[in-house]
Amino acid sequence: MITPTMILTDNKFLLYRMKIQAFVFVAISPFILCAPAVSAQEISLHLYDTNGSPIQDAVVELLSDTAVDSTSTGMREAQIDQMDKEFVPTVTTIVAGGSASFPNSDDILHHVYSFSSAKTFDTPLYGSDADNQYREMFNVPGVVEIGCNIHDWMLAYIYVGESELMAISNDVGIAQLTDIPSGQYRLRVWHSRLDAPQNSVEQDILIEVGRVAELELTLELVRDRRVRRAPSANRKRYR
Amino acid sequence: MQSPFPVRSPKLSLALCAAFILFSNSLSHANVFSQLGVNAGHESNVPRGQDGPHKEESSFLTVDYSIAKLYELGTKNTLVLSGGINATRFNELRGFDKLGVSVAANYNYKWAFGAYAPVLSLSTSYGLEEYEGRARDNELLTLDVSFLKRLSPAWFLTLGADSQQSRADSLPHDPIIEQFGYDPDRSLPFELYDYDSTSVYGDIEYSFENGMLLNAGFRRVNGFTVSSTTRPTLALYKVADALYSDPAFKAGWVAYQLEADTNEWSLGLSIPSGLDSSINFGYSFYDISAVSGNSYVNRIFSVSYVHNF
Repeated sequence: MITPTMILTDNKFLLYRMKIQAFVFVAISPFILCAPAVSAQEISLHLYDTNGSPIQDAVVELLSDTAVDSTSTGMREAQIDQMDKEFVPTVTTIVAGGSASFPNSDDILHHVYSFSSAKTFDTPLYGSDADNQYREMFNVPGVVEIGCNIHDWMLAYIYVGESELMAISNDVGIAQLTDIPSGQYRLRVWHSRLDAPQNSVEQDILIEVGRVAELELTLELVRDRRVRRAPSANRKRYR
Repeated sequence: MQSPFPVRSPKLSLALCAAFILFSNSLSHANVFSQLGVNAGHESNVPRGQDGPHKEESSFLTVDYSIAKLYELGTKNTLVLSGGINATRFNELRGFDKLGVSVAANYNYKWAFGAYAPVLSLSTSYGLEEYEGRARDNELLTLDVSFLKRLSPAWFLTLGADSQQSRADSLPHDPIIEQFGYDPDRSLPFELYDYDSTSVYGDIEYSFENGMLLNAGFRRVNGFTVSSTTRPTLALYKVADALYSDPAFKAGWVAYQLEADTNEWSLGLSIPSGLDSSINFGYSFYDISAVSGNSYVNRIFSVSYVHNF
């Protein structure tokens, strides 16, 4: 059973309207009964903004003070492509110590950079012929905001996690974590627009053997920092 | 008025742009892009007439296309070389139809990475405009320096100054002007579009979360105006800097150049119509104060479509 400790580790939680509204217990499968040591504990988070719209591209991470015996391999290598003058995907998770490459699938040149404290880098201007030449290591946990020095509207985030237990919410606002070893965790939710310090909130949760839980979270978002791509008659500029 | 920029000839700007283009192949890293604009609107006082009978209004359609090459000279420096063509057709005043070509070089220095870093922009452009008659043909050299800063996700500020040199072809004697004979000791030039002007401007833009942009701008021009009248008086003759039969009208109109200060107020609304296109509504009000107390106003309302390729 997954039980929230109900100890709000941060009063801001109330402000962020993080609500644990329902726990849905599902039947334990025969497989799980046969393998209780690492059973199929799952968390399914439904993320909504204050207007009730689903939140896409939020990162959910489970943090533990002890080593986690997990079947999850996590994200050690990632690829962030540049297609039609956009980064694809917009949000990527990497475990600290992992790496990411930045191929360019466009027929124009891009210049990828980050000045985030978790990782500072910039590539030269390069085209599709560079293939996977540009790869960066991400050793420090945190969020790395990447952009293109030519196209100001291009923006993506690399979430460098402390744990391998991470998931990104989909287009209907659902993030799922599976194969979670039982134990005491801190559940962290990050989103680029979350109105909170470091754009993240945390809560302690206790995960018990063989339970699946559905949590519903309502988060307050601020406006997007991404700038408009479409030109205007007032500023007929490329950037 | 003398231009504060030490460029002696528009040809110099053209040569500089041409040289950049010729040498551009040696700069291997560049992106090519182009932009199409279609603009339909209405102008309340096309000939800049001073009073009722001379304020001729007209609707117009402008199509412009430009192609550009962007070079990244360094992490903080970019250079954009561009060439463009534009055509305007007036529905009621066909004499103001024009065709223009231009080349431009734009250098940007950005203090840091990202959309929020301040940008210093230096531009020069050289353009030719051809009208129905030679008296309105002109070549225009512009030098511009501007500072751009995104203050927040919503607000974007532009401040700048520019200098323009307008030059006209030498025109043959105009017998109509000579007939005036107001003052044999004062012989006015014919070249209406020979003048220099400077301006300072500012624009603030507000971006809504849905992508719509609202902007308000102001430009103060210290320069000249070219206006038209059917009744050139002695008083006008004495203060004008150039005078010639206006080729935009069939007969009976005279165009004149006056030193003037112009306040231009503008409002705009831009609605994205796609990833790389927008529909724009614009309104501009021109308040022109000329020497000897003459004043002129003009209002332009337009709807435009802009697409980046």
